[in-house]
Amino acid sequence: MKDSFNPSIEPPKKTVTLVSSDGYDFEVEEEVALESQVIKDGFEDKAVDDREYLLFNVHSDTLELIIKYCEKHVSSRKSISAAAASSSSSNGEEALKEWDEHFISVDTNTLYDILMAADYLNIKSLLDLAIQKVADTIHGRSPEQIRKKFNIENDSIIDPWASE
Amino acid sequence: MEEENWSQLPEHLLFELISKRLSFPDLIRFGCVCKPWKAVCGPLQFPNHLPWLIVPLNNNKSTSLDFNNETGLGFFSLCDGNTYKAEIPEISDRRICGSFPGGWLMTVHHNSEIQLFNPLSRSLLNLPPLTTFPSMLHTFEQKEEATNNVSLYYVGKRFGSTNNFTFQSNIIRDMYVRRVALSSPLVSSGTVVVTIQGLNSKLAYYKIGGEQETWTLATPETPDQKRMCFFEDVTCYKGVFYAVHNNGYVVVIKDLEAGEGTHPYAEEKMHLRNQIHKILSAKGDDRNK
Repeated sequence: MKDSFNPSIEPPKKTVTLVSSDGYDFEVEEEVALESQVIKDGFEDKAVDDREYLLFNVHSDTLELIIKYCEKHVSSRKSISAAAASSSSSNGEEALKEWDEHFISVDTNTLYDILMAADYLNIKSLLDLAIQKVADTIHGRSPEQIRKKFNIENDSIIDPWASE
Repeated sequence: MEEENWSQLPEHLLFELISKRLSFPDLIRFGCVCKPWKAVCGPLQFPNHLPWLIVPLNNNKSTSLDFNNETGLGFFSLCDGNTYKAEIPEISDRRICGSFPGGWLMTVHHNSEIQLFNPLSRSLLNLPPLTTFPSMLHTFEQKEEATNNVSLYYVGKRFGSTNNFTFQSNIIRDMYVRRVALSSPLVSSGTVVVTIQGLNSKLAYYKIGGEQETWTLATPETPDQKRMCFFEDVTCYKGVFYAVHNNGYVVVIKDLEAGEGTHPYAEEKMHLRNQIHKILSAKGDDRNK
């Protein structure tokens, strides 16, 4: 066998349970959950059979997306470092960037949920991705267009800046 | 599920959004979206953004650089190369004679009003009017026969001569205040405004919140020897004003913020060998020109 990293010969994965605000259980691999700095902090102090996290601020719809993101990043990191170790050429980082871009191309309601969840769970790379998406959405738009896009009520602030 | 409310985004996320990711034009528009978003982008928090250049914006009626109502005001952004039209009624009909970090503009109206105005915060501060400059004597109105309009004229002392000058108000508005420097971009009580003013381009200052409600000469007048001397430029660095003479001398004026009562100026001179008549300070934040 050529590839010594074949997952089938590794020991079974440890998992943790994430519970969404609407009461759904998500069983995920430990290393996927550890993408969240909040879960990582104090993880070692928690008993192995008590690794269940109640995420009061994250709805199951959003949690599903967050888990998808973390799983992708964990697996991509592995394949990138494996490619580096065998010094074979890899476009892993490029591909991940493309994947991220596709992942964050969502409507503004979903973007808001991802942003708040990434902040709550402290997942730095996802938070950066979501905030950059907000900045890109604002870019070049007039205040009125921004309000419309993000469904913000005009609280009658004076707007002297009209683009020519 | 939580109600999505972008206007109530936590402050630390808004700061993260605006601190590095938005260009200055985007930032200005961001601040106009709603009050909570406006609240996080105070104009002085972003010293590293490229400035906007104030440009006249003509709507085909006029090609000259006048300051009539028909001529709008534009801001040219160095980041995206666009010109933005600004509807700012507060400065219509006024000549902008100085601009400062943080967005402050000093404006002159032909009716004699002088103001400091900040279009970003919309703060407005009245300074002593044109008629309170040292050489000014009085004004009068006169009906123009050709147009039947009433024009305002300013009369003042001509430097080194017994004759007075008389000029129409729009000429005084456009010519009388030549340069301006502020002791601090954080305009407040105690901030000193120094101008190069008058037909002979002398330095006069005004202290905001001080006892004097007029412009005071900052250097003595000595008509015989320095008749051909006038100031070309003035700037302020760390509370000290530097003004350059046409003869190449730099006059350093200290303690204007502290002084009151006695003639409050200190003067030192250094000679610029190559007759450099513009002052540019090395650090962007303190640049007044």
